Amino acid sequence: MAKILVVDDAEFLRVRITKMLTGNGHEVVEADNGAKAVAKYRENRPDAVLMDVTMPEMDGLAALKEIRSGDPNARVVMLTALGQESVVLEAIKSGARDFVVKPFEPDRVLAALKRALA
Amino acid sequence: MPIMFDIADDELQVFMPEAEEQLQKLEDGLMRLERSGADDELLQVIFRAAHTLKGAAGAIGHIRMTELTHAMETVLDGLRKGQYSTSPQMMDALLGSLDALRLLLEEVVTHEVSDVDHHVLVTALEINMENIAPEAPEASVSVPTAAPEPATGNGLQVVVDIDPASVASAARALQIMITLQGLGTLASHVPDAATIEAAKPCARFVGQMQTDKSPAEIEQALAWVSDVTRVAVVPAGQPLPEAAAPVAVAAQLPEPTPVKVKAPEPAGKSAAAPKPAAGEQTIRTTIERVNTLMNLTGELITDRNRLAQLRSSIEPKLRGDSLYEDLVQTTQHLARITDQLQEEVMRIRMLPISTAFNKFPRLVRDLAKATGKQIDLQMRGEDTELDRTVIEAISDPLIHLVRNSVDHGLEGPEARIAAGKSATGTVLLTARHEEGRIIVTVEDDGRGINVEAVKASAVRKGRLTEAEAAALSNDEAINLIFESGLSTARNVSNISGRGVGMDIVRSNIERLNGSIAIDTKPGEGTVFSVSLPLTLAIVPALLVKVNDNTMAVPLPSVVEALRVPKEQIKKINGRPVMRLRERVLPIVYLGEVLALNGGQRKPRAQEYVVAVRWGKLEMGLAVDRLIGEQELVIKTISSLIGDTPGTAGAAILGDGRVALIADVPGLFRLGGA
Repeated sequence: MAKILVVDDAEFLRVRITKMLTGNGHEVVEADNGAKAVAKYRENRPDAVLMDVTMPEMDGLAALKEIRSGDPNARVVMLTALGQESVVLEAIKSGARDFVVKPFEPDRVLAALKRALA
Repeated sequence: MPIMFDIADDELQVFMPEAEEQLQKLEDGLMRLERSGADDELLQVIFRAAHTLKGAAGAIGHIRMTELTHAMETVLDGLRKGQYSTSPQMMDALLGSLDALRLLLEEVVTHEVSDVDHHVLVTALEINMENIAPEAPEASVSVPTAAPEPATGNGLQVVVDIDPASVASAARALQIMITLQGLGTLASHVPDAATIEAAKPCARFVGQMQTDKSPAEIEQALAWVSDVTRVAVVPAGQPLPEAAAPVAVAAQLPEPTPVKVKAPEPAGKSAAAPKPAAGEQTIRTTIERVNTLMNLTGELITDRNRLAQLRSSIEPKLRGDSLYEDLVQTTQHLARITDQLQEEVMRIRMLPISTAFNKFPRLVRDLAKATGKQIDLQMRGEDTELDRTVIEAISDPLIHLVRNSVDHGLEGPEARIAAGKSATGTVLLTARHEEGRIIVTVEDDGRGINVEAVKASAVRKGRLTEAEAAALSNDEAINLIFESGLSTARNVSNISGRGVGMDIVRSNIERLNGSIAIDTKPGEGTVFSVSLPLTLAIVPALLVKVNDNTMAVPLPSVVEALRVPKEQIKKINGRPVMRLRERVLPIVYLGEVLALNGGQRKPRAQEYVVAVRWGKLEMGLAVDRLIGEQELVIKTISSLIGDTPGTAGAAILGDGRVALIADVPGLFRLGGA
């Protein structure tokens, strides 16, 4: 049971991920863009972050860097899409623990989180 | 065969509005792109909309929608990166795909496979990207390496196999590289850093490293990385075992323990991070819930009115009593609070009219293409708010008016130039609040309505005799276009000739307690002005007594209420009329025209007449008594008693009785005025 910050600008995906995480006993905090994610991270100190890449205001990559500069131990798993390989590479260089490619199977997200939290 | 998607009913309520919102963003963005050309921010917005749709479609397993949005996104991504610029062909492909997306989205609700060949669309999109140089590799970003440690420990060879099905194998290789760098000194590896950064697919990573970690520890560490199928760690120089140890799968990992994260104060740098957008906090709720709230507020208003009536009926008995004064104060306060409550609840249901206007850029673009006309669509007052029920109801009439302006109003470029105008015609949509109503106008600078042609058409179709037509005033003649079957367009086009005429437009607007007026100047253009209430739920009305019935006449239609000595009511051609200032006002006896019970009306010394207006026409409704003004909460009665000509619903009054609401346009038709 861990506290997870879910960041995605698509409400539907947040709803779906939240459902999956709470169903697995996790506590969820949501944010709908990168800037809010940075603020929510500071405020809530989640155990891990699941973060979309393409978002308005501040994208996932910028938010990842921001979060990691505030907390070098932050465990961030990126939610990416096909064709975002260069972004993924940069995210990993910037300290993302892992990434899951959309559309994802719930198991893959849970497994990635489990590894990130281990 | 029904098509099913991976989505639950409760998720659908979030999914659909969000997807529709993204489609609208996409459409708005593409229209702007076509009109004003590309700018970085616009391209980002459009790209994100396509991307979000792709993500949503993927999540529910809508494969065709995912593939189509992916192709759109790829085209947009190239635009965004400046690899090519827009072309008419590309815009058509993007807009065509957008239309298809709407149909594909509907499938989620209908479960019926739509008639969309997404392969054709994907091909049409992909053609735009042909002959374009492959994307240059992105500028290399230096890989953060661990501080070089002294090369101590054992030399190990690490071989990691990556799932060939991995969609981002280079990123997995990078994860492996970074993990190994954290465990010792990674002397060399294949693929090397540059190859990984070029995002080349990678099925196997082989590294030589110096480390004091055991092979088991390294295997354990690499188990973190997704898509790794096997890991082999052997002393340097030793041959690889053919089958390396299978990777511990996630399920075998220890349960995650709550991780206590140290909470270091944000460093100066992150303290200066952008603050979260100061957006308003919002919640999402269902329309039904807001409607229930609205209905309850309506009940409260009814009770408040009832209370006010009770108060005034006990006033003679209790005036001066301090308890009575308290009652007066309390009821007055209640009245103010319920007014505010009603206003606030109404505000929840308010939407900017842009939600109706935002269809028009696309519509006008397509119309311009279809007719070969050059059209500049301008919109003003898009932020004007009104009740969503009104917006929904007004949307179709507005579409018809815009189609009409393009089809019948605006001339083609040559005709315009010949008439001394610019080749491009203008259609202007405006919205504004005026005296508690909303005024929406559709204006064109086209040829104007040809009054003689309208009259001739009415005569040709046997609606009027030549003499009657000649006697019509200009306004009356122009209003003929609202009569059914009187279109003057020579050919029925597929633009405005879709079986919906201006008569339907007018009756739809009137059904909303609205009105429509025309102002036209030959050669200069036409303005259609639609006046609408801000809400359909509550209507201010003048209450009147007719026989034993209470009737409500909506105030927007009322010109004035008069007490008229009976000798001032005369007959012309057997029909009662009266003179109101300089005009002759036809009189209709409301009780008779509605056939309300109560028997033959007796002649009176004086009549109460409510002068009402419909468009530019006026008539007088003769009633027995005037009661007063009241705000009425409308209930539809057609389900109970069927549509009653001349009435437009019912309302419950303060005294608990039911009042019929007069349908003024219907009364004009019944009264033959």
